[in-house]
Amino acid sequence: MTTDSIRGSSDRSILVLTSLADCPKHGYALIKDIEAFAGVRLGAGTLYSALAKLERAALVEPLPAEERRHPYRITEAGREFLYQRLTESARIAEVGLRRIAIAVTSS
Amino acid sequence: MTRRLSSRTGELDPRLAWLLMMLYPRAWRDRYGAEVLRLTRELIAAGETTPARAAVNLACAAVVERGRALGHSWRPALAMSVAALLALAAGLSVTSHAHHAVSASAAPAPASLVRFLCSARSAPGPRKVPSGRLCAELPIRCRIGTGHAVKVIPARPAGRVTVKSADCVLAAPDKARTSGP
Repeated sequence: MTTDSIRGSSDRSILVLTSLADCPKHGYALIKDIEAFAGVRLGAGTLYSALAKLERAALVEPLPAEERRHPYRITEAGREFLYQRLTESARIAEVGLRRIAIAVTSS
Repeated sequence: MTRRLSSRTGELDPRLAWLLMMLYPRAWRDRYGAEVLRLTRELIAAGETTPARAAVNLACAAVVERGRALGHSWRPALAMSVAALLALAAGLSVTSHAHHAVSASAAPAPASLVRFLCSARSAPGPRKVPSGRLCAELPIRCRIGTGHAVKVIPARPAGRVTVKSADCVLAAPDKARTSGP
């Protein structure tokens, strides 16, 4: 599992990495946080599918259990990967928004 | 199947949980199985999801993990598995809904919704309706009218009318038209 396969996957991995960007979280906190900032409600199976994929790619790592819950945290490689992906997305968004604005003003 | 969805209201049946975990590759199950089940139970307990929805989500994720474990050369087989599981999920969803409909019949429905009449095409006179049948299954056009022993799920008043007991009488078409609201 490489970051290339993560790159080709859906946005769920990015949502999980974004949620973990500030501090470690366990599964329930991840689901609630992602729902809050992205409006996407992940199921437990979907979340752990993404977490497993990210862990295999060494982009996240588990921490020791707290009250029977396993928190996960983003790794340095994960933070770097997330930064690149978000920078790409921001650039694409900027181009798209600029073209929309041009089209609106010229019409 | 519906009895497997929840041993009690709002809980994932342990046998179904075990079955769902068996859908995952062994390595994945050993590593994440306990965590994902714990999270699933937390979500159900918090009212964030239902046992049926959680079961479908776990089954779909299991197919994805199976596909990853098999590798890219097995994509056709994976597609077939996905199709089969989607069919299973649809079945689960439908049965679950029927289960909820029957459960809802135990609670009293609003008086405005308890009234019930159907206009039967083939049967001209009043007749008995088997207990537990859904209005959607009857070969007739139904609408809310007068009657008793019928409960309506408030969230779906249009199409989900559940007959509570065997003494619900379907009126003839003419009577239905004249007696309806």
